[in-house]
Amino acid sequence: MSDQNLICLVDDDESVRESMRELFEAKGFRVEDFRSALHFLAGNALQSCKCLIADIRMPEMDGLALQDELNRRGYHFPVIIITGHGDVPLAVRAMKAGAVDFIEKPFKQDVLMDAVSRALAPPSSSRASDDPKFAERIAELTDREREVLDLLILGDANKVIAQKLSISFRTVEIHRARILSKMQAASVAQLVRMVITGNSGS
Amino acid sequence: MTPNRDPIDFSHADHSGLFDILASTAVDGIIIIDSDGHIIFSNAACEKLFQYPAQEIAGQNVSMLMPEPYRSEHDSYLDHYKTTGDAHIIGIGREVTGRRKDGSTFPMYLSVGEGHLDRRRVFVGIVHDLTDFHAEAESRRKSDQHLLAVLDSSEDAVLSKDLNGIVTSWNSGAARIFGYSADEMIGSSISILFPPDRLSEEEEILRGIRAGKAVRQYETTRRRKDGMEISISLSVSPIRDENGQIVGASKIARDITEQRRAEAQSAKLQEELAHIDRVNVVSQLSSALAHELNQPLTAIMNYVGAAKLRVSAIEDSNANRAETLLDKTLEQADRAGAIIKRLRAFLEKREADRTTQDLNALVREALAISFVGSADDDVELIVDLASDLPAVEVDRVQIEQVIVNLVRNAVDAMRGGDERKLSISSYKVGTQNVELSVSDTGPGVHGDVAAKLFEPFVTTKASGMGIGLSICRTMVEAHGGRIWLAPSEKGAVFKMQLPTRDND
Repeated sequence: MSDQNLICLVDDDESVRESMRELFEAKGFRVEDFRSALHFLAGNALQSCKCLIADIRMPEMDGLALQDELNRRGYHFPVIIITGHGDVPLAVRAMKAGAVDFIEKPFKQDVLMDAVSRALAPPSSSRASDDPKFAERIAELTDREREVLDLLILGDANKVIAQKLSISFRTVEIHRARILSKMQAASVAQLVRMVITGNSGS
Repeated sequence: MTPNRDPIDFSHADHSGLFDILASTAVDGIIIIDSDGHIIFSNAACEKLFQYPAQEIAGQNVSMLMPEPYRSEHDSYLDHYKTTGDAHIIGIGREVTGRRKDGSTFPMYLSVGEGHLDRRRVFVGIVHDLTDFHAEAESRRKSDQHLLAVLDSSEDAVLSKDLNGIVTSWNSGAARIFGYSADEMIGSSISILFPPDRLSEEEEILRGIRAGKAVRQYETTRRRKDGMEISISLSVSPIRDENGQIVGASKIARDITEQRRAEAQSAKLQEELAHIDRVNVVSQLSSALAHELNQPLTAIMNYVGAAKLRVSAIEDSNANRAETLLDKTLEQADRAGAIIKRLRAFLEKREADRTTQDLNALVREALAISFVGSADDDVELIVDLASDLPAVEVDRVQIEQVIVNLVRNAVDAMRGGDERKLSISSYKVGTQNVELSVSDTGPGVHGDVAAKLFEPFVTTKASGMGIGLSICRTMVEAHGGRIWLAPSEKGAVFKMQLPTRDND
């Protein structure tokens, strides 16, 4: 494989890092891995990296801070954030900081590979307007479901959404389940990813 | 009198000699006047008392030894007595005022007797100087007054009662504490201060007092005039009269209601904290465990996935079999992952407790909790909270717990140090985040420990479980925030950042 497909891994957990490397190498990717964000920033891989996979939780500089630093330095290669914590607010922050995707640990290899393929694909195919499936599904939502979705994307907890929309907690849960089903998202995290990237991911 | 001398026989003595010795040695003044008030005789003591030489007053009207208005009216007093026999002083004696030669006056006790000398009516006055007695009484009165003022100004209730429980004195402290004025209480039974279920207590106290027993710092309950029950600390001592007889009891009562309330409040905070600890340790331990299991599980799934890819390239029945086994392994790892996700989803239900909060208020509460019942009050606390802090949307208990954790860690780190300064500040970071900084003057966090500080089971404390900071991180990140150890020249500086409520 050429530099075209250089994948960089940043994770402070050696086993996770090494196992991911094995997986990508078995798939035929070229991989460089780093045990910290600072090591990555200090190396040359930065110049040729085509996709960065970084853990969100690391000492010294975490995944979100690394994203900020890359943005500041003007690097715009796709970043996939791995999180051990499938927390919506954190995911929303990562996506807002420019992550193209985030994946919850532990993940099936298909999920990781799909995310990487999307990240490496030419940008035109990942635009919301270019994904008819996503547009179709969004259109299926009722007005109220759309409102709930907007708040979910803001990272609001169910209780907060209930307060803001003056409906019961239970009703929010029902709306949330319907939205997930209509959008064909497996989790709120995936839903957030879909809405933020404007891509159905399928 | 000694037995070898003959007793003096007064029946044959020279009476004028007896009078001379009596008059010249008497310490009190003796003045004899005739019925018109003229001085017939004055003894030596009078010279001292009135400062007139005897010859100067001999034959003068006795009124010269009195100040006005008695001086002018004395003659009429005498006339009045002589015509009506209505005595005001004669045969009685009372306190009057004397006048010295220089016009100054002094208090004196005058007793007057009436008799006849050579068939003439005479009055004999005995004058006792009361100047010293008055001065003594005045100083006693002043010291009593001072004592009363002290008692009265006491914050405590100071009162006395007789052996039947009837109140005999009542200071203003008592009036303030119990709500009854001295007028209302003096002469009334002290039992009106007792809640019904405590009435037997008074019997017991009185029994003890009669037996001479004092009660010291006894804590009990009394009822105020307005019906409110208050906690008091009571000391009761017997009062004895000059003969040593117990005649009553003095009581000093201190209102300890506030103190008790503060203690109860502190106990409640402690209890809350213990509860927060219990609830959080369970859920956060689970959360930390879930996170930590995720790491090896992720590695397992990656390794197996990679192995499967490698094995699938081999055309061999054993390799095929191995691929199937790897698939089964992946299924099991996936199942374990699903269990962890379910556990986490369960733990995240706590999100439902999120409400709009003022981070500064949480800091203040956390500080109160952190220092309750601790012996660390010599830690210098520097609190600097930004007044324009935007609201945050958080689980109050969790964020407070994080702050408590940071504060306690800081206090622990400084234990035994010379300088013990804990600074806590809050401020805005951009428009979308608020930050809290907790710094101490302890030894700081070094190298190896710093790198792994937020991992579970890492601690520098002998008795610590090491889940504090990892739990903090889990909780803060669940709020979309961050927590980290900031670089510092000395001591440790921990920072927590939280998105504001209106962050979008």
